[in-house]
Amino acid sequence: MTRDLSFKLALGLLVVFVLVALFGPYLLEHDPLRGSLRARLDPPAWAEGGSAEHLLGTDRLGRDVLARIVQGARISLAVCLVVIAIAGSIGTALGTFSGYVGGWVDRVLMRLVDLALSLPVILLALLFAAVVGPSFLNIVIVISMVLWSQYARMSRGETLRVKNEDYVDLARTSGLGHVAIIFRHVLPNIAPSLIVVATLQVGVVIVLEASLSFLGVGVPPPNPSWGGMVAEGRSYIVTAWWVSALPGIAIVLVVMAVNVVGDALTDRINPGLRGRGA
Amino acid sequence: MLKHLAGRLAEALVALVLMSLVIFLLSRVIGDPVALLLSDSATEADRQLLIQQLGLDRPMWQQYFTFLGNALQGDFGQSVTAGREDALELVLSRLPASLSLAGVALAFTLVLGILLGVLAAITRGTLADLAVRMLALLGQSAPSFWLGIMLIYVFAVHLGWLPTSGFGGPAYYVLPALTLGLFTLAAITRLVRASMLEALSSEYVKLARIKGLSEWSVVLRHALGNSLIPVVTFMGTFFATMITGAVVVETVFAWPGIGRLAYESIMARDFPVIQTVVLVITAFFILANLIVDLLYLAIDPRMRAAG
Amino acid sequence: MTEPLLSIRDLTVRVGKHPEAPSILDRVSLDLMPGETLGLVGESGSGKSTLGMSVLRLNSPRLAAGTTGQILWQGRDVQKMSARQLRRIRGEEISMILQDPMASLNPVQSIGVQLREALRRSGKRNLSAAAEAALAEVNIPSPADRLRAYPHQMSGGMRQRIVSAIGLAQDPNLLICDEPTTALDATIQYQFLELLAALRAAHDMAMLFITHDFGVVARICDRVAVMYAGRIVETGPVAEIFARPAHPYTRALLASVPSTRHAPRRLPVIEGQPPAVGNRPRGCPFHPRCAAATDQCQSVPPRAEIRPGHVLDCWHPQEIAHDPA
Ligand SMILES: Nc1ncnc2c1ncn2[C@@H]1O[C@H](COP(=O)(O)OP(=O)(O)OP(=O)(O)O)[C@@H](O)[C@H]1O
Ligand code: SF4
Ligand SMILES: [Mg+2]
Repeated sequence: MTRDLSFKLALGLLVVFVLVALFGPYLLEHDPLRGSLRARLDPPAWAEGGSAEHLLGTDRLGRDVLARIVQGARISLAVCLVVIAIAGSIGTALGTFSGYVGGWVDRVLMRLVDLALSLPVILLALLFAAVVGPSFLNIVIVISMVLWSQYARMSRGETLRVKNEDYVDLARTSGLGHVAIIFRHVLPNIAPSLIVVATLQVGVVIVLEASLSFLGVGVPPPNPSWGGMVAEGRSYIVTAWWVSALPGIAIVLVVMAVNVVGDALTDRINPGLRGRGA
Repeated sequence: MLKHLAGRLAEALVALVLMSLVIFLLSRVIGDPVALLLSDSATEADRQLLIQQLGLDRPMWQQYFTFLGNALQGDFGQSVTAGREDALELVLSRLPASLSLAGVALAFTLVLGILLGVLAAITRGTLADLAVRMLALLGQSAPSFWLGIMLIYVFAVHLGWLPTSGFGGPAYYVLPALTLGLFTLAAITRLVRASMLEALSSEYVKLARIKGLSEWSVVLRHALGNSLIPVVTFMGTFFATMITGAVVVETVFAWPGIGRLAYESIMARDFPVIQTVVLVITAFFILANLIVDLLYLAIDPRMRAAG
Repeated sequence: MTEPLLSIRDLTVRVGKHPEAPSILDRVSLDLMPGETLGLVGESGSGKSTLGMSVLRLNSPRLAAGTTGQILWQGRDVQKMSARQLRRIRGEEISMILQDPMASLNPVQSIGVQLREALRRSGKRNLSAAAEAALAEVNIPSPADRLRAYPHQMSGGMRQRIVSAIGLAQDPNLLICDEPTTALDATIQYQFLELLAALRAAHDMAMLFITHDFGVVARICDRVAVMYAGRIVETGPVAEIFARPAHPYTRALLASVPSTRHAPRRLPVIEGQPPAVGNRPRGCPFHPRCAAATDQCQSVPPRAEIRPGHVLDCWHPQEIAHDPA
């Protein structure tokens, strides 16, 4: 029962996140990029000295923290969607191909995936990002480079499972081409497992993007990425805790919700994956 | 089994070589080392001289093998920063700080994670279980850079119990180790809880109960051993998480380890140091995975027989 | 008359505490006398294992929470025992061979460790010698070597015998065997039954023998109880039940057993499916599949003892002698 409740709560939170990312920026009066010098480091409304003007306070440049968090949600969501699209299609294409073809191609590709999974990828990402410089496009490429291998592994395993099912044999004997078989019979059947991977990865992407932005190689300022906001607030944490704390709480809430939903989906769709979330 | 280990070792070497190639290419192709090394006032003649000195006029593959050959002899070049220190020495001097932090974090994480996981499993469905699961969820969801800052704010700035950052006695370890370990703690807790629940409903635990063993013997002697097998399997991943986590955590806590060195050298485009750090970290990754393989042998008799 | 060793009264096991939760066992009652072997027969899912495990309180916490009724062991209610009292009974007085012998041994401990653990509680002095003797008793060759081996190094038949040795280690008064032969192939099955019969005599035990197989019942049991959908529908002495089965379900089962009883088989499927837990019909649970069913069968059938010791729950007991041809 608590399971069901937490699932609903988490799903609700995710819906709010998506809605805020889509429509939030149009509803707020403050510009996330424009500050006011008279309102620098104003505390949130409930704290001493706070006002309803800036519900979550302002940052060093007097920019409204709420407006920046809302704008940051949009950036997080955008990074997630693009990364999952890129990493998902590359990984799935390679994994499905590998599993479907089999033989030495499969062995080589899977060794590659093992390698990709065993390298200190965050460092590589950092390195790459530092070399090519911070931009939305670069961060999306970097994170996709890190995450494609999980789709490859999953789709390969699932393809192997589906490949020998009767309906695929039937399709083959009835003269359907390989590409058609993959698109019509294999992909639809492995899709649920891939959705589970994608869900579980949303949290990873958000944290990775935030970490890179925190380290200064992610979404470039003045765009309000949640990780970047935490970094900006770090140096005056003593006097203005909210600048760092609040965007972090936004990250925690969204990632927590994603994890709860991901776990529930795992249980329902592919229980074999349980406990492999690490 | 020996064959298996040999295979893993070969794989490890391939991984190292591949990593070195990636780093080499990144540093030579994308980051123009000449531009990095030259001051703004350098002339074209200076430039040509440097290119010749560095051997950059030779074909790429030759350059790579020179790099590889030097690396094998322990020569990773010198830092391009003012100090011009030997890259390998620099990295090795930062290693103890990182290893001790990761060791402390891994130790507390393992002990606490197993305890909490077992507790949650044997009190399944109670408030204690719920509390542990919430903690695990939080630990898996909080990004470490934020968590570190918040811990500093609460325990160092507000309460004044612990130092804010820097390297020193045991007190200095508490917050960084906590920050570095929380994600892994959450992962171990979840893993142990799940595998403990599975073990507790297994037939061999039923047989242990049929023998009339106490609940403690059942949990400690029969269920625990089996539920630790997955933890061992994931040890390599955990260690990896800690090493990469070190980049962020050491930066937040001004910890003089290789994580922070990696970050600083990347920001300064100090490619000789970057190459060394990344290769050393990769080597540790691989070493950790080999140790896990051996541990696995020790804990699971079924593995000893298997090829 | 002697007191029953084990006496189960109205045992109901539900999936969870809720009083409306679906029941796996429904008001099961039975008695077992000292030294007696009672066969428990029924299709898969009828609740045989759940019944056997209830006696030692081995069911999952969810089922344990949904258990009502009494299980009296020598007059004491197992349900009400403290953990300490329960432990004293487990192994020493009641022991059990679980349905899945392959999974019953701890994969990361040697056979010796697992066997000595049971022997230690019975206060044997020389544990190693006792362990070897215990393996020798179940016909395991070169027991000293086997003690050092791990479960994965042994065949199914070997593991089955080791599990039996562990079950017998503390010389129990009652041994519950949950389909101990189904995992074995036919010849080993036969040997194993002979072994169990010999051990039963040597240890002077009572047995609750769970099986799919009437051939096995004929070979080893004194009485038999037939289960259907969580209830015991008919019970009586083996000869009586074989000669004059009165419950339509028992008759259907027996009719489909080959008359040559030397090749034991699993219970063949009767027309239709046994109802799933939570989807069991009201009244007599067999009525959707019963040839003799009438409207009356929609309500709970009465219990009647039609001959001494031969009890059944049915509106329309079949009185004609069963013809095995
Ligand atoms: N913990 C549980 N929760 C829910 N249902 C359960 C649980 N344990 C058993 N059941 C259900 O109770 C029914 C009876 O199970 P049980 O194992 O007692 O049957 P059985 O007669 O031993 O069958 P088999 O001959 O296959 O061993 C099955 O339908 C099973 O699915
Ligand atoms: S009570 Fe009715 S339905 Fe049930 S077995 Fe007897 S005759 Fe058949
Ligand atoms: Mg059973």
